[in-house]
Amino acid sequence: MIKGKKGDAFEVVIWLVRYIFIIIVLFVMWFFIDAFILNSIDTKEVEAHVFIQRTIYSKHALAMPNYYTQRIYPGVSNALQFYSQDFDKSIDYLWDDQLAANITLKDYSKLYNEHSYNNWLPLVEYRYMKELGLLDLEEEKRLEGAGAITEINFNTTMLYYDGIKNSVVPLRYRVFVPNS
Amino acid sequence: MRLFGSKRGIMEDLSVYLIQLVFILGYTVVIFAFISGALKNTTFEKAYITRDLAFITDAILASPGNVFYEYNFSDYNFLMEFSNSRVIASDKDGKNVIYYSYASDSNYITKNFSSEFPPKSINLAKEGNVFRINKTLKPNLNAPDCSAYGAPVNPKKILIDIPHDSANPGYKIESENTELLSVCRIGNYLLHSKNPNIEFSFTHPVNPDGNLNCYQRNPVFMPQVDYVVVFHGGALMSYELSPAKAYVQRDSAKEKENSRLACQLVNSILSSEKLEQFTGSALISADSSLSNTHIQMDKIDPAISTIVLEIGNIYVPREKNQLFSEAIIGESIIEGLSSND
Repeated sequence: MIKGKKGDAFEVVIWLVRYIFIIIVLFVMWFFIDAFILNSIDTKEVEAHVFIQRTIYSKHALAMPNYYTQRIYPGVSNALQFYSQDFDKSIDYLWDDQLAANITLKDYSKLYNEHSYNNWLPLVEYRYMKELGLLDLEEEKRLEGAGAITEINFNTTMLYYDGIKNSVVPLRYRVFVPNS
Repeated sequence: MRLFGSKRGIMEDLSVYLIQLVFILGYTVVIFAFISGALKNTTFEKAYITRDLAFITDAILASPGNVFYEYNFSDYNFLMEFSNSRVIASDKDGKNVIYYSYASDSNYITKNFSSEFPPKSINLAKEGNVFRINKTLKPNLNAPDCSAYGAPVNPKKILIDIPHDSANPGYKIESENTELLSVCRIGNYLLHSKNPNIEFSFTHPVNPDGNLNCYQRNPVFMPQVDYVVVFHGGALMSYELSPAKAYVQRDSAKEKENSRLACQLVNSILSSEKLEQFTGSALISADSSLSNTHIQMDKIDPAISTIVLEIGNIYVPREKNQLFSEAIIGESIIEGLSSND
């Protein structure tokens, strides 16, 4: 131990360094433990795909029923079925902030949860501006985390019944799910 | 560093080590409290279960046909609720609520649901145009498909007839079979039911005490009703599987409509969670004389359709006991009359 006033002052500095070091170690441990505690689950992709499959198989969505037996032909649709079904009523989340989508069958297109879709579209389109390097850092931050929108695209094919025969046509989905 | 170099040094070092010790102990207590809280926290489990159930509900509503699904709760003790398109999980006291939305379908009739605590399982069933939560998944393969008989029939005015047999207009006062009297009690339950959509009238008079007089029938009865439903206790020795039976007039102009209502009644009894003895069903096409046998002594307008509903066989012990569940059978009949299945 160093004697004298200078020595005391030196000791205090040494201990302060120690305490600071201990505090840092303890906080690191705290954050390390906290990092392993999960309270949220990311189900945006699942949510979108459950919605997509529901539109394909539900008899109140795209799947066309037999006129006489009312049995469903999964994977077969046409323009009449596409436009006659009100998806907002047959797939109704009651809360507008769950999911929105643009569905395109052949050349026909319709919006699901149109109000939210139109609200969220600028946020999604912003993302493409980021890829082009047109945004500054502050603007880029708004595209991530809670409040931002995740876009999920899904392309498949469906049989299109025109009253005489079936033909394979593209079925495209552009689904928006909020991050919150 | 030199430990305990002098008396002053000893005190200084001790105080420093004591401060460190207190610091570490305090931290240990806090970190253990934090970990303990994290272990007790069920937010993740609730988030998982609500999402899982919401996606399963979505998948069931997406299926083109009928689906039955049993979701078992093994280790989770949460209060579960289905309300306003949301699956809600909370603690026993209703606190710490976590929910997730599923997409309901306005084409299906759905009721809100709250589980008991702790829930053993939640059953999801989509049948016809009805989506039921926590419907018991008992074998119901014999249930007739009512949609084959056209649109649902929901009569508003029903005349209930509870005969003893074709020859006897009322029950015998003495030495009456208690099982047969139980059929009359079902009528009594309907008399006191308070369903705003269905108005019941009876071929039996009402006693001053407000209950049906099971021992007597009105000799003349000509009410303005939509349907006549005759309660029948099966009395033939039979080894067949316990069926819920209904006899429908074959030669009626409204045969299809009558069959639809009979089907609704039979299905409602068959699908009741508490009437487990009924495992089969039968819609029997009968001529008008058979249907009217029980009420031939009453003057009923022949244009009014009659359905004879057999609600148990008094010679089959398990069905005989079931006849005493007048409230359950009564509720099933009301549900069948107002069914949209």
